Amino acid sequence: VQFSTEAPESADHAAINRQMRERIGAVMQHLTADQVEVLRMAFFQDKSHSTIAEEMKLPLGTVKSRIRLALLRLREALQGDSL
Amino acid sequence: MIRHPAPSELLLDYASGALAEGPALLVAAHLAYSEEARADVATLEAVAGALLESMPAEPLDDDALARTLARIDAAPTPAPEAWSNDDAQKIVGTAIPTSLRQYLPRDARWRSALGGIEEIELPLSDKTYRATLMRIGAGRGLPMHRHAGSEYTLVLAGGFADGHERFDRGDVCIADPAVEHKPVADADQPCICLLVTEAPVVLTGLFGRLLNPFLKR
Repeated sequence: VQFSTEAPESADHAAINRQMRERIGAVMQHLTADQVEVLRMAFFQDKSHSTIAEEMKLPLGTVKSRIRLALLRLREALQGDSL
Repeated sequence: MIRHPAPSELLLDYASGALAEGPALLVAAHLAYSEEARADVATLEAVAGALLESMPAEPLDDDALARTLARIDAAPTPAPEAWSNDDAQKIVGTAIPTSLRQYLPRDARWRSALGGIEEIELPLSDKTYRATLMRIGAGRGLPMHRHAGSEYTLVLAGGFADGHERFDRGDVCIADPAVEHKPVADADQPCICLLVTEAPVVLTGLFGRLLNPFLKR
């Protein structure tokens, strides 16, 4: 389930999203294979992080830290990009 | 600046659509307060796009279209007459994000619950969670309790301390079944929160145990 956020969608927004996706593709090279695997399972198998932990037979904390580190790296890389 | 943002794994579950209605509503409302969380969700959505483009084209399952249509049908539809910001503010006592206003029932008013707490239930379609706005009087606390399931709290006005940490407007507090806590509202003003609970709250301590039979799911 997802809700629309406060900011209205606009053509600009779509263009920014496309640009961002291209940048993200490059930035994702900085992620480990483990981190990418968790993101892939989340988005393409519609799995919650707890289901992913169960299926990969990993402690919940391991999956959480993979997600947190992945997002941290993406944030850092994106910030570095825009400087 | 939000000191207690929603954790990354919750934002990922939100971005991937894996969250149930109750916690998804809480994350949607949190996004209204946290620019960082909005940026993170946008980043994760871009990741989904980038992953998709990097994948070899695969044939879809035979039932892919039917499943997609079913998901569209199952998506929550906003209330036909959502409250105006001003009217919602008058009822609730603070401005609330659009996502919450859409769930505010037409006859919304604060109703007394236990020990100086007031509640407005936000009816969810998915009954595995219960969502309520909760107002705790200035300086008052909830009885010590732990949780049979997860409990998510988003502060909408005022603030509270739970013995370990402080939570202010826009902050998210997540308590799992292992956590026993006693939130106390700031002394100078009432605290208004969105509370999303997975299963009945279990009160601990003598006073709490006496109250347990009266707690509604």
